[in-house]
Amino acid sequence: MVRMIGRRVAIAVPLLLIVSFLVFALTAVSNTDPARAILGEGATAASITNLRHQLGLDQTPLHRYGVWLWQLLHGNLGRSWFGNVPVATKIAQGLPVTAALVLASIVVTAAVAMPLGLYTGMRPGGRVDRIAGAVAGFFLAMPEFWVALLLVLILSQKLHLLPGTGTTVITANVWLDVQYLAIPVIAISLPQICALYRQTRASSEIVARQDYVRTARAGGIAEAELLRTRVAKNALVPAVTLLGLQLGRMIGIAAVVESVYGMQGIGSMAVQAALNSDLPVVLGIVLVTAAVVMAANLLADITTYYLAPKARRA
Amino acid sequence: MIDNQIAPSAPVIPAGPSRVGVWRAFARHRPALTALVVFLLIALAAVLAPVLPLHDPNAQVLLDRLHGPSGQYLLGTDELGRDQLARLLFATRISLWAALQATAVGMILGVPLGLFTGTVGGRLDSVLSRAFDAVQSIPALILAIAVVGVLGRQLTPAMISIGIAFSPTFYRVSRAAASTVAGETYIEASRSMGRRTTRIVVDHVLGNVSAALVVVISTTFAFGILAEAALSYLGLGVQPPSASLGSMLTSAANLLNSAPQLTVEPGLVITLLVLCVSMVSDAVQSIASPGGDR
Amino acid sequence: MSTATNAALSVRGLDITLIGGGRPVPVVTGAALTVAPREIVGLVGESGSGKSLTSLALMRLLDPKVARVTAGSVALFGRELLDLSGSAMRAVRGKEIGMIFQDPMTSLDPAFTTGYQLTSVLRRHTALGRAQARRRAVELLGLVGIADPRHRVDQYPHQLSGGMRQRVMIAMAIACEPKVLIADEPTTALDATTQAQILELIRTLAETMHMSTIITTHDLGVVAEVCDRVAVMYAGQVVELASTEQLFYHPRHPYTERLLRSLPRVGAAEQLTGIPGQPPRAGNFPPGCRFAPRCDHATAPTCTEDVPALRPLAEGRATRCARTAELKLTGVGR
Repeated sequence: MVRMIGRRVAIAVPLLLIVSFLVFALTAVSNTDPARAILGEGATAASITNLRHQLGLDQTPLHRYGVWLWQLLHGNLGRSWFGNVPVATKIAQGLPVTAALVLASIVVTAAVAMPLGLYTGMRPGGRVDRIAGAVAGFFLAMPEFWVALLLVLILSQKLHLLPGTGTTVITANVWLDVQYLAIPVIAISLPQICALYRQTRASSEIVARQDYVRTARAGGIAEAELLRTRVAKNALVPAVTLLGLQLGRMIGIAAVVESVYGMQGIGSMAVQAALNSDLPVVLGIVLVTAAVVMAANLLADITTYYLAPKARRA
Repeated sequence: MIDNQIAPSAPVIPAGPSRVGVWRAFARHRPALTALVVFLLIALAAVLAPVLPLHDPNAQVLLDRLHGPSGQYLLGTDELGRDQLARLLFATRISLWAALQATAVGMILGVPLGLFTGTVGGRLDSVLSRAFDAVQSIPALILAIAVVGVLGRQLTPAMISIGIAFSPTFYRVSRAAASTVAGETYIEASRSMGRRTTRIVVDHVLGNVSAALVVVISTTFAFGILAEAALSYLGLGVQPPSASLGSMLTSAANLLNSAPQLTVEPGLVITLLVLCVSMVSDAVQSIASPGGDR
Repeated sequence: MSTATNAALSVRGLDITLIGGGRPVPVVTGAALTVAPREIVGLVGESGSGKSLTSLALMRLLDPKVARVTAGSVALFGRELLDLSGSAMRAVRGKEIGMIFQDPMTSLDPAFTTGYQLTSVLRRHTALGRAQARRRAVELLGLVGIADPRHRVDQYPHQLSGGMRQRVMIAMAIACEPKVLIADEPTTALDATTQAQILELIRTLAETMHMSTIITTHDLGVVAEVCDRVAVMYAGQVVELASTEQLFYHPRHPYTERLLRSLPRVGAAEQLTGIPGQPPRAGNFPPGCRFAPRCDHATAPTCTEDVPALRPLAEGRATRCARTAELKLTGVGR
């Protein structure tokens, strides 16, 4: 167990270094000049040269990478090229919003998809199964940010049920947070619910046919208990792995949905930074999201480890 | 000596049907066949858009702003009086091209390496597998956004990075198929007959991997369509005035209340494209899986 | 044959139909069997003879999408099981009838400890609390001959050997002291030494717990070792009912004779081999006697056209052979 975690971290660190290096290497071939972007079209050549020097852009990418890495070792992600705010401070502002959005989406996804998938998998070909299958195929195809737009149109502008734009901060008022999170969470979750539902249903169907389920039936165990215990524990192993992978996709999609819904999370922050060529912020967010996704996959593996005792020998 | 002729448990067929069998079963699969035909028709219309008798997608007729569907404008016009149908078709063209780029990059990076390490195994196999595992921990869209941040607002680098982010899936599927086949006796046989490893891989493994690959290709392609729309929506991809399914949604979002059809239409096109692709992939998957072909 | 009224389990006219592949196909027809209290009855047949389906049907555990009971009666101490509601039947399973399955590698849940799997059955049917059920589970594991049950109770199936898993499954089946035990090929997946131990365990338990037992097997050696009486199945039908001794020394159906002849002379516990031809598959049963195409004694039209009935010959004896009175069949020599 400890060794598994250790091995994962041992892979994660060099990867993050390689990714960050590649981003610096890309700047070498880039023909956009951040200094010009920051100062705008009317800037004089002198002021651009001056800013380039301030930002260290006149150094080679390798040198800049060394400086960035050295700062990182001291827990410093650098400063934004816009407004001179520390990247860590910016990320700390946006992270709670994105974390709330993504965590709520993960919870909603798991809470809807897993029970439904376990249920229909035990009754393949039933009415619920056929309806859910068709609905899942359709919603899986809808782009999340478009769903968010439609939800704003229907739930906010037409029916006035929910706010039409998001929030900058997560407040202590849970009810208010729920209202502000509802539309983006539904938009992000919908396709993921469908994907996770299909996975859970497929493995539940396989598990329900296993000899050991028949053995439990021969012991008089009721179907509902079978579903809650035996089928759930066996069938959720691949589902949990998928859920871990879905987190990454959700973080990526959150960038778009946050922008649609006007939320100040790290996703919309990354978009803004990319539009501004604000390299330190972009890099910081890439590192943080990659670390979060790695942690989530590790967590999924640990969960799997407890769900599937047979795998523990490995 | 068990009653397996009549046992109620599911039969386990080790290999899927032959390629001819897959195609025949697919042709019998009505919904999937319909989806394929619809997709090809849309793709054809998009490819031929420049030669079709359409309005210029970028020509602004300010007097004809926000028209409803009519004989002149089949799907009406947008807020600048541009023909919505022409814009949708030209946008679909960009969308399909972008998705193709991402898929091609994913395949080029993932498939050959996966087939190679899957057949050969050893130390390189474990190192590469770990590396691809790790690549997967960067969300595809975040990577694309970062690349745009460095290289500026262009679609192609962004789609290449989507392809990079999806390459681990290509790698894993190819590697799994290759290592399954590599363990089988006919590979041993052809190797002992002195044939080269690459030749063996090409002959046997590709046939084995194709069904699984179709699924990954369609997943990547579908995500490519979505990613192009998302990036262009955010202003990171296709730049105005070029029509993209994403950028059309950006301008439509301001008119959500007054002209909702402008928001609905590009989204429906995306949904339809992705739906067709995933229906085809679902059918291939269920036909190729053991005991499939329902 | 014991009369139905004092039988522990009585099966009459049981028809099972396969419904998986579109057209319904009768696979078991008119299966009949009676088990007296504390008796061990063997249900013998080759692969595909329908014995496993029959044993599952007794527990109403057929997968309804694959096979269904279409006619007949299964009575437990005179109570009809086929008419019970789903929940009433679940109360019977594990409590009044216990069942052991053939493959101990796949029949135990890999995700749960043996203790959990035992206690969930115990707590389903008894008022035992968590701690009591666990204590009882340890007791049961000891009872079925598992060494160090306190340790094993917390282990997962993959940590046990095949023989031990089969013992765990037996412990689950007898946990609530059922009156009837159904063992579907309980030793097929085990090696020879373990087979003998498991059979001995089943016999001992049946004796001490006063259980009536049905063992399905393709192995006449198993029958010789533990069974009081035997029902021979061929192509979905019971073709002969007899006491074990009568069956071995005085078979009354040509199929039984062929089975006995295929046994090696020295050392009884061997598998069935050496009957020419293949048994017919469900859906392709020949008209008339289903064994006729492979039978040395078959005559037209008696055997090839008329459907033979399972005719009683004496108390507890019956055969489905039209020519049984004319034939001089030989059993194993004394």
